[in-house]
Amino acid sequence: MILRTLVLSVFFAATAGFGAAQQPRPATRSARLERWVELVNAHQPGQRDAAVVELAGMAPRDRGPLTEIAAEFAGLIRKGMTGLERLRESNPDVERARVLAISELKRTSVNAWLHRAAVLHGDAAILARELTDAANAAAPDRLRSSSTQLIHANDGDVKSTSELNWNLNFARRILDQVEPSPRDDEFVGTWYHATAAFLLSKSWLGELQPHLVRAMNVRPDDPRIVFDMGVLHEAMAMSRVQAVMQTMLDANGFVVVSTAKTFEKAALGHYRRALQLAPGLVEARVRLGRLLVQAGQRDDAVAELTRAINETKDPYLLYHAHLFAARAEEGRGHDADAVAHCREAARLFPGAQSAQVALSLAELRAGNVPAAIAPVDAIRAMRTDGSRDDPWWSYHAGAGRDADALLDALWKAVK
Amino acid sequence: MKPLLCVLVIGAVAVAGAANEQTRFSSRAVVVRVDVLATIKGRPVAGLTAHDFELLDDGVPQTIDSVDAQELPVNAVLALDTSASTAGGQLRDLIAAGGALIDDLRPNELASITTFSDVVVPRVALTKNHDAVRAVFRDVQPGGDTSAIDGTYVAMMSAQSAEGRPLVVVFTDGLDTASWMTPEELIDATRRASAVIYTVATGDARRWKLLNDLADATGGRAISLASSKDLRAEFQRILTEFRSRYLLAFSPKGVTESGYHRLTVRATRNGITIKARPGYTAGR
Repeated sequence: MILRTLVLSVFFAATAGFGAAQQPRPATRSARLERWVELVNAHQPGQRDAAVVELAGMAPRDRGPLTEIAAEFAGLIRKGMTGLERLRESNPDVERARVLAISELKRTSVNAWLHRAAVLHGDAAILARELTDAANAAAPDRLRSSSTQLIHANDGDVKSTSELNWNLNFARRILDQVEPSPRDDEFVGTWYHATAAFLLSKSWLGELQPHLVRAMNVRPDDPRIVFDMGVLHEAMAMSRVQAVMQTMLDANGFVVVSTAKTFEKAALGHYRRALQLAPGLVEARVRLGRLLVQAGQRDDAVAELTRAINETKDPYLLYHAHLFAARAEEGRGHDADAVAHCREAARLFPGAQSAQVALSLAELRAGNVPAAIAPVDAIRAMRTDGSRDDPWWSYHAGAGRDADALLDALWKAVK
Repeated sequence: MKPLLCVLVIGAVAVAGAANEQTRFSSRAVVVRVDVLATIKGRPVAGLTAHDFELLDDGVPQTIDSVDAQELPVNAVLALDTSASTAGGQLRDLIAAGGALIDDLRPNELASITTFSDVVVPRVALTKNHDAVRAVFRDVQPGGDTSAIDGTYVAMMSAQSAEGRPLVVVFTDGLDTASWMTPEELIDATRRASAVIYTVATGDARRWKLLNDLADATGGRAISLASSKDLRAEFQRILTEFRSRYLLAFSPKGVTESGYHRLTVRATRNGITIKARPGYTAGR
């Protein structure tokens, strides 16, 4: 069985080591800048190459200086060729940076350069996270700057902690510089969504939260981002996350800021908004249907789910739509409809345990006990080698199911 | 007349017969069985008869047609958590406990095992072949998330298919992280099925309210253990206690046929504490 970990953010107030001023390395400012630009140009998007390894493994003491240098360079790049050629700097480091910026803009555009830089740092977070965690662990406490600890949990048990990945935040800040604004740059939305999908695929919800908060700030009308925000909130309300929160609450006395109901209500709002922006986003409609059932609004749920069923041929979405509709119909006392929906879900995925459990329950509630026992026999006949294909088990991942394809498309889009 | 599986029969009658949900039970032989534990200061009381009990269905006194003690064989269904968190000594203790309970069954009694991680595996259907049941333990490997709710439901339904007294023993060490069913759906299902559920919890599961709710809804007991080393003795105690229970059978009269029925079971003698399921659902 593949070990899956769930990463949550827990905010420790003033308990982690706030960093003292970081001591710069002996290398000059210009040398650092030139090295960084080299890495940006050398990196092959999607590859765990030397550039990714170097940035992922960078010691915490070097990150602050790099952040400063990169911010300055991005500001220079944004001036464009004409602005740079007019600029004269007495500071030799800034002058060197100006010359370097001109050199880069002779080869590419402002936004293309910034995209490439962001993808490098994003890839360092996606492809070599463990190097960053190791660098953090090796650093003296006084140099750690993050006050946010991530909780890694498996099967409801807390296993370890780590910090938010600095490369992801770095990448977001780079993309803040695109022109005229990130809101107008489709690539920015694609990067945020593909990265969110990756984080969802790993259940790294703690990393996902600040990622999507920033995404919503810069692209509030991007339906992909709004949808992802809905998925995050819905995932936080689900039992696999709530179990960890309850464990932390019981063991450590943390105050849980939001309950499952609060998360569900927020998710519902995000899905409604996503559908306003993109009415054809069927998965948002299916998820909305589920949350309406949770909220007891069964008539509305049935309406949404019926529409979703009519609008898609995607078996994954149909499976969930039918199961959620079954639950809604049970609540409305429509037993035959509930059974029919469960049968359809089971037909779509004959090896799915959840469909059989749902069918058994629907038959039991309809008063048909022998028919309620038959699905148990069906489950008994299923494979036990970990190869069962139950879409419900990946429901929490949302776009994470398509993470590989989304990342491939992102990497291909880098100029 | 051999008592029938109560809720199953009632369910069938309600579906087949009544268009009017308020129809009262007819005079046909529809039988409800209620599994009852009678104790004095925590110790089971032996030798009770129908005259020692008072039973009300939705507040309406009922005639107890029969009281069985120990005559009916036990259908013992184990629902065991084998998720990642149980790996190591705890799983070994759990397997030993399961084996000890199987060893204590009589030759004519049936056993079944369902294990659950995120994958629910009803490994062996109810069988008198206790060796086949014991053999299951050799193949159990820990791993994955926890579908305790789905696993408990599947185990409970595994117990519905045969004569005998269904006993479901559920073990888990953590909260549910992967089930399709909700806690409310599981509790509702227990009102429609005929099983007494004993829950045994270690670890974080000791704080899980659902385990108490399951026991209360079915007339069982929720047990919290500090160490998995106590599992073997506890499993054996559960079986011993279950054998000391009584099975009361009655044909409901003067109450509606379908829906949830509130049951009240009392002892007619002072000092006896009665534990029984608080109700059942007939029909829809």
